[in-house]
Amino acid sequence: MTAAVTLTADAAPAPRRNRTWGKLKKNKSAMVGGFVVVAFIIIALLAPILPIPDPTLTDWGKIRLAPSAEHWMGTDEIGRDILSRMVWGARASLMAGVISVLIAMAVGVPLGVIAGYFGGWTDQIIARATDALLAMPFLILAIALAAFLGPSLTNAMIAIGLSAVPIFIRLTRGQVLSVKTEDYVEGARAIGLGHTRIMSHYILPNVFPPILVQATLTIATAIIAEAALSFLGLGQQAPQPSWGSMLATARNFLSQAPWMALWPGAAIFMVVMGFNLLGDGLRDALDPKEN
Amino acid sequence: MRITTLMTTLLSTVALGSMAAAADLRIGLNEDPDSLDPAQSRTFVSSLVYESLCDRLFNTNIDMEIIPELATDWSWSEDGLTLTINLREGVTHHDGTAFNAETAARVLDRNMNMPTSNRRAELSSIDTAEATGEHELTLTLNGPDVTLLAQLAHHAGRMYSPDAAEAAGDRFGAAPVCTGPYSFAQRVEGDRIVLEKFADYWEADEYHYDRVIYQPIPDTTVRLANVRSGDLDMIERTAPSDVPSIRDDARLQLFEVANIGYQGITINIGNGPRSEGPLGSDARVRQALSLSIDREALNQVVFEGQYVVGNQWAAPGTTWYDESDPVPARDVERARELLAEAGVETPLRIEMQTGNAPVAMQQGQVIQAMAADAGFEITLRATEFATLLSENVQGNFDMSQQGWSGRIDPDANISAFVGSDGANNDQHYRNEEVDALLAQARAEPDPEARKALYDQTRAILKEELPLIYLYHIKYFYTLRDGIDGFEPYADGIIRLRGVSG
Repeated sequence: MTAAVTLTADAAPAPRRNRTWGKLKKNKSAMVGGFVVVAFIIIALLAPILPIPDPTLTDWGKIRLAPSAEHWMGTDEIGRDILSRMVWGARASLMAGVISVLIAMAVGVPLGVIAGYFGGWTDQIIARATDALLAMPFLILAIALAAFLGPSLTNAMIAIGLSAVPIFIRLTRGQVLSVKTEDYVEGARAIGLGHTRIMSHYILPNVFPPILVQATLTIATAIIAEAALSFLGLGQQAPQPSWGSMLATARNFLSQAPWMALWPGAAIFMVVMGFNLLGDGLRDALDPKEN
Repeated sequence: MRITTLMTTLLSTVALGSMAAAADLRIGLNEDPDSLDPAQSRTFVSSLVYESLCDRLFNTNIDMEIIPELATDWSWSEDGLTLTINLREGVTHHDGTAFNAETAARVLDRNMNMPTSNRRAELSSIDTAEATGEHELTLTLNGPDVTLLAQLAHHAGRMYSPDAAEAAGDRFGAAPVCTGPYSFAQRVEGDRIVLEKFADYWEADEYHYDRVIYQPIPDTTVRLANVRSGDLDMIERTAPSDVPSIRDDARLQLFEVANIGYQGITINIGNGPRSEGPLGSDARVRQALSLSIDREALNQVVFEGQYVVGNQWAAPGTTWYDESDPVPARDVERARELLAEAGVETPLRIEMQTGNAPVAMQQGQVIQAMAADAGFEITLRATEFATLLSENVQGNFDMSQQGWSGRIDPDANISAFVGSDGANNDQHYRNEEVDALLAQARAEPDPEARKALYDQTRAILKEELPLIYLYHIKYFYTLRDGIDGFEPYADGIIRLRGVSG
């Protein structure tokens, strides 16, 4: 621990990053999860250049066609190509997952650091407000916020992000409480560094690993939440595709066109599983107690 | 707490299961009815329950002609200002009190005067309702009104026990007491309404079930699955997309009937600031929108071609349809020209409100895609239906996908929607000429002369287009095999007289 005083955060992460990567590589399920996630990210990024029709292009003569050479995943209730809608839907889902978690972190992490670092009344106010928010189920809160903000994908992302804020506040605050009594923080204070600098350069980098794990797991939850909001009509708006709204429509044609529900359902399952496996793997890899 | 709830649920499931063995008929409804007080109801679906619960003064036969029910016969005075109705004798309310002219007059009084009654406008032409004999009811009118019999053949003419209604006040709908073939037993909001056979009913032999249980199941797929599995005996409003598979299923019977109402788009013409855009202020823009829609394709894509395309409140081929104005074909070129003439910069952004039922959203997307070809950029806003109606009343819409379940008298299908004082004129359309024609038609007893007047309003409305009519639905009923005697009626109401098995 004495070494940490001189190393501080600027130098500490380098060896750990290598060790983490090494551990992660050995974890098979994490690698499978990572592969799935990367694959979906690539598909989503390539959407504009892939040789697929416009996801909103309708064809009245091709309603609910089964998968075929021309339409690999079939067509939907108003004759749009489902493959194209799946690809563009992946963009919406992943973007919603990542951006809402970034929003949650942008708000939650600073508040958590402030609460944990300063303690006292500041901590009391932030922590109690967090407890109150945590008492509300995540999805219920997201639905209420989305309904309040109005239906659109942007608003759904904001709603999901804000609903996930308390998770990050609580996690960050807990981490800060254990880190702030460390010698290197005491040292930084002793040499007269300001609060802002201590928080940003000494505390934040050392509480970050568990936040990263939480972020990965929360992306999975956020993707499900986006699908749920779109399913309810509060997320992505027609005619733009979203896996959730595709599922909502497909539900009405389960007996006539089961493939309409199969693809979005399978995609949500795989992406969420991917993020969960990756998150679990990251947690094990970043855990200093585990070898 | 949780265990108690679980136990109660289990017990009631077991209890319901064992009771179902008696001659029960389970009917799946598209939505839960509102209040079961005939003075207060405003939904179509409540009529389905009322038909077994509360008789009406007049009913309609399968051709939608008015026939007497609790009335036996009626006569109009020369000047059309007095209606004398003779009532059926030997009829008892479910609470044991006798039905006669005095109770009928009290029911009409309550319908006309109770502050929370939704029947007041429908009965506004009645000045007084008096019992002029034990079974003779005389209505004195403040002006001629040829629509009155049709009103008395709807919610406004449903008879109930005035004693029970007085005792319950506004809460009468929670346990209604009427004269119908079945009496009210239980209601669990959102779950079921249970009616029990009324032994003293005047035609009790014609009703063959001990209990009728109505279960609201809004999801059409789930409703159909329930009748397939045998948990329900009959469902109303089956989705058109399910029709082909039901026809192929030997264990199910399918009945269909064309509805007397219409479906279309209501355009905000004068209700608040949102009516001030090009769509609300220039009829040519509305004509362009109407021309951009391929009604037949819409019917094929969304409704499997099962519905009837239309362009008026009356369906093509029916009595009140104006043959001189046939369903227009899609004409994108002309639509573009009209937009250019109107000087509109395309794409023209408009919001269309739709209900949040999947079919409504699907329809919205088809219209969105069709109108895009002519230069409209439609954004869709899906809201739950009650919200849609209240926002339309407040003027918070550009245009809105709306429909009407239809009434047998034509006035109720048009005046309320385009008359200046119309209760459903959410778009605030005002045209004195239309008002005058509608008032004249309301007082015109000769059907042909009356139709000529409605045709004149059509000529105006098809130019100004406050409403774009698109299609007329059909009601599809799915029954399990073995039920006999069912006949579908164009008003959508399920009649259980003679139904058995």
